[in-house]
Amino acid sequence: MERSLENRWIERYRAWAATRGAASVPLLEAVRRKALEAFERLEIPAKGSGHGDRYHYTDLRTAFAGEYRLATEAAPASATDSDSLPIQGHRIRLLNGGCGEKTLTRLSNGVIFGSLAAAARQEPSLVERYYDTLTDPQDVFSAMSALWMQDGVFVYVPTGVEEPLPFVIEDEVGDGGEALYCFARHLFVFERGSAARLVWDHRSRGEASTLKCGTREVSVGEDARIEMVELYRLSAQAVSVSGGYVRQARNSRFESLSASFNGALLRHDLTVMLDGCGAENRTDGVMLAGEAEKFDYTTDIRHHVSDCTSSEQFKSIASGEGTAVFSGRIYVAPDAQRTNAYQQNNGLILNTGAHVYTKPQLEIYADDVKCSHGATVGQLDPEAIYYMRQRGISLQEARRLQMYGFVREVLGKTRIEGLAEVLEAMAVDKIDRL
Amino acid sequence: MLEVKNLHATVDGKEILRGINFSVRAGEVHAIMGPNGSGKSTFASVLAGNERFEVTDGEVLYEGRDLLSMSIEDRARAGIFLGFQYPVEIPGVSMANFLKVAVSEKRKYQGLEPLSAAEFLRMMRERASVVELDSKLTSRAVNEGFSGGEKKKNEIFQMAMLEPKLAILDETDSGLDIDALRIVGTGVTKLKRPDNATVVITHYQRLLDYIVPDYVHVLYKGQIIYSGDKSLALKLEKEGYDWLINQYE
Repeated sequence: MERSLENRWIERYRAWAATRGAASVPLLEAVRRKALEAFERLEIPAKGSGHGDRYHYTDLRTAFAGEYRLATEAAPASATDSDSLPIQGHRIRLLNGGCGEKTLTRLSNGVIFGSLAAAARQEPSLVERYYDTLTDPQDVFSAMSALWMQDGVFVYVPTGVEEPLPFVIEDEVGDGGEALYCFARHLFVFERGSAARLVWDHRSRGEASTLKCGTREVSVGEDARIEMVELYRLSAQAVSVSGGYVRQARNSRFESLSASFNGALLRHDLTVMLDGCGAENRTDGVMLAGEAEKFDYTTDIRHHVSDCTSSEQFKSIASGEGTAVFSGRIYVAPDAQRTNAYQQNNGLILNTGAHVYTKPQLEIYADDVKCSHGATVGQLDPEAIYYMRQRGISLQEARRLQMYGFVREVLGKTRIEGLAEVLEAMAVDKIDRL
Repeated sequence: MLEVKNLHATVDGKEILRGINFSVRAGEVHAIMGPNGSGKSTFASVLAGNERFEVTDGEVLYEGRDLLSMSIEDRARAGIFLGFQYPVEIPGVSMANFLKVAVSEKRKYQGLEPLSAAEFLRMMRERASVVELDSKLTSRAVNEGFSGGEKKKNEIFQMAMLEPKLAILDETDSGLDIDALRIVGTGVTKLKRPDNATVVITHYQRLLDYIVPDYVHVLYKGQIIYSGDKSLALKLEKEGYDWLINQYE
């Protein structure tokens, strides 16, 4: 294996480690040491490499080959922002992977949220119980993010608490004109019987090249009900490599919706471990890739025990030289009887330079299961366009209506107040540029 | 209102219309009949502007304007409505949203202010009742999951919403049961005004019991070979087209 790229990153790490002060948190440092050992044997995947064929369509090696500055201590994120989502909620502001002030907010109902670094310092036993417990030891990006992380998001909802207000994560990357790398680790803990909703807004500050690499762990306790919506509206030079590990306990429900609107390369990797009987998972997404954008959503839904339900619905539109990839693996363990798993992926290609890839993988070792998947890739329907134009609707508006009609079913699934309208406006705006 | 002169049109290089001459004045109802493959639907599609067909000769004047140089949507906004033989399903686009856009584009073209949400909803309710269309259908996606009869009623509902000057109904009666036929037929008649006109393309006389034509034309091999009054439809129903075709050949 040719390791010059990895070796360059290790040198970069050693140089950075030598300059770091003693202010570090022991817990984070312990994971960092483990991550360094892992990274020394792992490989940044090129296209077609990686375990389990996870990187079949997307080359991430090139993305990590730039000579960018590594984002160090982040400046405090701006308090107000015209781009801020018009959604009421608890704000968590991140800039280049850091929460700035490194503070934690504690609500009277026991909810804690804010900076992961602050949580590791102030709530070490709580963080230790969950931090780096769900990640895959073979995942090079979780190792890299643990190695370079200085901060990230922490949300804790205690047993039985139903938090009425959503958490709104305003996650910005970029720092004026300088190209940079930034890494973060995020930790979400939802205890038994809790309920919470989260919106995660990924934005760019400025137009410079950036690479954001983050790994999140989400622990969903028994009977907990969680909804998470993410939107990516990064600049045309921004790369995001995002890994997620979700573990669901008995009878829990976790619903996620991801909308990829803008960014040079958006790679999402999601592993869901259904570890408690009766758990329900819903994972949905929309990808609107134009120009040379490349969006890749790879999921691994793992039914480890019986009587769990999972459903996935992804819709993609690609135009220009844009590419949208959906790879969805469903794993059903030998004892996971009465599994009900469903996966659907539909793509629209607007012109010959654009690509939509879809790769369902069903790996079933139990015999009493209901597993199905469906995939379509097509074009806009010229008959429908003609029909709309015959009713006086312009060609452009007819195309827009048809494309929006295609994705609205997915975007409309969120129950967070006011969010569906926001997603609709962003989708229409992007569709106009496809 | 409409003046068609020597209209020739082809699809994939094959000539379908071979010199149609046809004119419609405001207030009139015309029926176009003829055997299968005679070019009836092609004629309707060419008037609507369907890009699958190429006009190779002739001209069409609509209210004094050159219709053939107008885009599909401008023809529609100027008052031409085509009732589709096979209405198209548009997943994810609700009837209400679709009609809101269509009505507001038409009003913009006419220099009118857009309707308020309340006015638009009231208009939808009123017009849906013209064809006894279940108003619940307006919250569904366009034609998606509609029965054959609902799709045809929906065409007439859209016609009621868009108030065309010239409505061309392409085999609106096909696939309808007796009740739906009556509802669609009387619906069209309710929308009749002295300043609009209707062209009905049909195989059967039965629709013409409801939409009574002033003129009946027979299209054969891409030409109108015979025109008469409403009694012609009855004669065709009884005797078929052979006597006319023999005369023509």
